[in-house]
Amino acid sequence: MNPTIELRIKTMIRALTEIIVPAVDPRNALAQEQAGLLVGHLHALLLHGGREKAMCDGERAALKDLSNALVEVSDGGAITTAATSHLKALPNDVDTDTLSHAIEALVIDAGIDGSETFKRACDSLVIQHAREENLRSRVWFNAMGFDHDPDSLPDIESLFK
Amino acid sequence: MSETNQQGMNLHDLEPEIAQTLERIHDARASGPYEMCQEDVLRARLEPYLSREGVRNPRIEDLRRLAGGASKEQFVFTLTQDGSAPRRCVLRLEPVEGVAITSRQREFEAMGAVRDVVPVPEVLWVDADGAALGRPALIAAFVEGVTKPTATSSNITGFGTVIGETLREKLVVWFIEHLKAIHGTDIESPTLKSFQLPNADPKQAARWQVNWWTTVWHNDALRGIPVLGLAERWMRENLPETAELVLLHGDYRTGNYLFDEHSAEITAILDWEFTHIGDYHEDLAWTSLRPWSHIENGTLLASSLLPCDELFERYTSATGRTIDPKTLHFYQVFCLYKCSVICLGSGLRSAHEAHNHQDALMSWLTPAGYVFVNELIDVLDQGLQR
Repeated sequence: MNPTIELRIKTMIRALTEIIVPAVDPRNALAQEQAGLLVGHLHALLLHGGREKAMCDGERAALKDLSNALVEVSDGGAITTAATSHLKALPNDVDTDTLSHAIEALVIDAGIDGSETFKRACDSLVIQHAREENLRSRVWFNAMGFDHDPDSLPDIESLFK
Repeated sequence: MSETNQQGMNLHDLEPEIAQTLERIHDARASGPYEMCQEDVLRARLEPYLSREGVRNPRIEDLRRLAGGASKEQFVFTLTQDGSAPRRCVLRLEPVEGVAITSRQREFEAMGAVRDVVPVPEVLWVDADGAALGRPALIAAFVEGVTKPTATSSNITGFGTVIGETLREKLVVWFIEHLKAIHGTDIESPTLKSFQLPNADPKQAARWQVNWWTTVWHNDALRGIPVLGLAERWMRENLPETAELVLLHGDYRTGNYLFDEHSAEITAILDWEFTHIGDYHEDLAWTSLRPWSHIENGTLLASSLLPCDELFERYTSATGRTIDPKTLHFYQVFCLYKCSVICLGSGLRSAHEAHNHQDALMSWLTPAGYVFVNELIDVLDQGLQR
């Protein structure tokens, strides 16, 4: 039987905590800080529990939905039209980075010659997408300890129901 | 994207020094992983460098690397020289990339320009292009003090610092007094020779900032974020006019000053790398961003020191400058955008390229961007509803 990723991460945390961190030169503040960071990273990875692909798939699906919705309502002059055509022409299996950059470019270019109707629709779609996706990211990284109100966030499991 | 916006505005209208700094990073993008500066190498470079700078028989002792400094390598050492008492010094050395790429020369000039009016570490030497020390670096005198009460804990970035009521009542007096003094600095001082005035038109101060940070985002972003595109569009459509240009610290908040816990005096204001000339609303918006503020009894304390309304009232009372809500709102959007870019753009990019000595910290800090984006969505939505 192979050791699971969960078990391997737990053993790394234990080795760091019980052997490596105590052995770091107390005068080397950077090395101490970095060792602590590695423990923090590993704890967060443990909570992610091998679900990174599902998380990325969810992000991509949400971007695809936003892209389709923007293309549907796009309206404006030559620059908006060109940015829309570029987005529309992306292959179905385009990578998430390219897709996201193309959407962002259309949102920006709408400011040049997008119709007022399109801009208002675009504002609403982008804000809605941001609220949903940014919440997912805050939940995913809640263990990092940056959030103001961590107790108000649901657990990672809820992202995949 | 097009090169001009709806008013035919030049998207490349940037402060020339900033444009050069960004160009330098762009050119360095293809370089391999950053190799951190080893202490023996640094010592071997420092002594001849200081000798050339006029220090008599310099000896570097007790050279140690410091923690922190999210975007810089930091060292402390004792400099011994003939004819002078030994002095503790801090050296800040820049990696290829980090959470922000800025100019050591400008940092040196900014600290020199304010040294008579606010407490800053005495700036001693700058190797602006890294010709002597291998990378651009700044050396300043070491100053005692803490950035947060020793009895409290907070995240590695200083997020969530809590300052007790007694201490903050004393600190806030200095906090406002020093902000007033920074904003009162002569912006045409010859010391600030790398700084240019955004005075071509009343909107240039805001435009330079928007162009600076949107350029950083477009250079660094590995993945697009639609709401940052929306923020960019909104900022370009809503640039405020600046009535009075002042020297801005650019990162004025709790965490970026040292204080003495016993006297509650601010002993040094740190991190002058974002300093520029612009609109005073920008520093006020930055100071009161929620992620480095503390909420007590339902009230947000700007920089964990005092309620935002009180900050603005006391600033107005001290300086005579009034707060325009619309301009303040613009700079709230801008500051949240800038912080999002720093975390989700530059920090992640530097880890991706292995261009920093603290890649693990860079990737740790990246998700902090979602906290800023969370605030940005709300503040931007308010602007869109108007």
